[in-house]
Amino acid sequence: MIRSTQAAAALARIARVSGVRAEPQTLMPAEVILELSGEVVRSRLCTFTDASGNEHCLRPDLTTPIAQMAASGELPIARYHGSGPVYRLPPRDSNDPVEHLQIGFEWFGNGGSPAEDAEALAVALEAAQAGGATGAVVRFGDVAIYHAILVAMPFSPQWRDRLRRAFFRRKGPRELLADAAKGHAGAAEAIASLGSLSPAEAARGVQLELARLGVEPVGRTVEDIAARLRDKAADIAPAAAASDSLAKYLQLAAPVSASLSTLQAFARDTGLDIGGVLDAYAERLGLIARLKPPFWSDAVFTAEAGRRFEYYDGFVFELAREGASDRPIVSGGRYDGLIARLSGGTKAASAIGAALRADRLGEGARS
Amino acid sequence: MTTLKLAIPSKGRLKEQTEAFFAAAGFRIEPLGGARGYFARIATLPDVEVRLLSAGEIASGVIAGDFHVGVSGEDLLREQAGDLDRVAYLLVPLGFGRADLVVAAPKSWLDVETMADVDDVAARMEASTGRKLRVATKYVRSTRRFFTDEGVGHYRIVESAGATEGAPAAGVAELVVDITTTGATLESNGLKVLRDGVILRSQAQLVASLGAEWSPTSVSAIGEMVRGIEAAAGVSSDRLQRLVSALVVTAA
Repeated sequence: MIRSTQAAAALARIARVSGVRAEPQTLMPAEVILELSGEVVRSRLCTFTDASGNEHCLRPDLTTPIAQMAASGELPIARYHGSGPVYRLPPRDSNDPVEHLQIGFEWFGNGGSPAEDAEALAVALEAAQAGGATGAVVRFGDVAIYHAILVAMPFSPQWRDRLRRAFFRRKGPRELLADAAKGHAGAAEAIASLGSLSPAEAARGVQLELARLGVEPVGRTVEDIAARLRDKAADIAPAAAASDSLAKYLQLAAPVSASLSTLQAFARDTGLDIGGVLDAYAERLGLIARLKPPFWSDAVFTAEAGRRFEYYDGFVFELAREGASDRPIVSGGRYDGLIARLSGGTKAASAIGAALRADRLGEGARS
Repeated sequence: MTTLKLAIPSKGRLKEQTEAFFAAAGFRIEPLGGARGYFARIATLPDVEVRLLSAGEIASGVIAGDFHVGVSGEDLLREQAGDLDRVAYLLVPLGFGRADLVVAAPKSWLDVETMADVDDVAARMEASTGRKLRVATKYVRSTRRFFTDEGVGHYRIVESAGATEGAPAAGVAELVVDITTTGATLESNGLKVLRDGVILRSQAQLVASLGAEWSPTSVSAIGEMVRGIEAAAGVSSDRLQRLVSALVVTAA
């Protein structure tokens, strides 16, 4: 599987601290990936259909099948490493191969401390260095700060949910808020009267309206439709000041050395109470500094880091050559919610991991 | 391929309207090879070879470069090509075969009027049932593109083979993405088109393939055809020049 000494060196660095080697299957139900990441990833998946109509896919990464094994109980909650081919159809105009060798680790169930964040980052970056990566820059962020800002800001619960989802979408939070400012979000329909009704009264209202239209409830219950109408009536469009603050946060970028003061200044200027996540951020930076990982001194904090993977929910990082940030050599981060999602809520475990692309490790050295 | 290969619809109203359109421009399409009629010719355009196919086959043939020009619906062309404008050039909108590709929801969903509502409902559905909202359609790529542009996630596509509009009532999907002309079929199936749910206002197009092998003969034949069409309509445009500048012409 490992075809070069560089890749072997990277894997060796990871394996030293990453438990046993996990050997997930190459094939998995396409359903698992699609339920996790949605239809947007379908165009990148190598899928095929069997005679019974079940859809299968070649694994697009190692994280999901290993996490799936842990979520199903096939593997105990522990640290794992892995290496092997993964398969993604290249985007248009890309020369990327469909198959590439991935080397990585997944650490489950350690509680998710800043110390673990720091260790994971250091292991991933040291592995990249051992694998021959040079001339590359770390971009990192913290999705938990974004979530804390949403909670601290005077958004309606409905908008908080919308903005949380939008972080991972191509039409992101800033576009969504810009639409709302133009009045496109459609929050103010002629449904305001329902807001003052009790759930039972609202359901009765829906029933009468459906009878008037002569339609049966399809796909959702009358109660659900009534509940959302009340929800909509109670929704409040974001205030301009809150939208501006959020947009300002999403544009933040700073070298690692200035990142904490930049975030603190943001919290001070906007008056937001996000001290908890900033303390964790500061602690993490201190621990990383002590480990002195390669590439780290030039690292850049960006608020939008992590938008590409819906399951990230904390510290996120990427290593990419300068000017090629869309082609990361290493991607990693915290995804504490993944095991719960994959197990349908029957299991929960903190999780952090990183993946290296063997085909990109040497690229920096060549150029 | 020294002659110009033109593919036109082989049956139904689309065929009649296409023939009428060409006839109005002075290009009468005469069937060849007996009643089965897979081939035809245009006496006034001797360098054109006419083939009769289904609109879907014409769309894929133009995209693949099997024909130089074809008549097909823009909906089919956009669905079959990843990025239509890179592989084909929409030469002349024909004014018939009009149909809208739309997103429709059950009429009982009183709270849903926009794509933003769809995203909210889809997220609620996933949170409460653990399942994603299902969208039935034959237009998989167009749906995926539109939903991504509109910021809707948390959904799954259920590919439908036919009678898409019946999927919500049958319980196999919640929403549909389908083609509609008057909206009557959706209406009678208890569905409503979302306010911002029009994905494409489609019509039949005379479309040129950028991937076909173009020779001086075929370029001059398409020139004659477009000039005839423009003269009959009393218009002139730079579309021919734009097509030619987009083509790579190889010596015959």
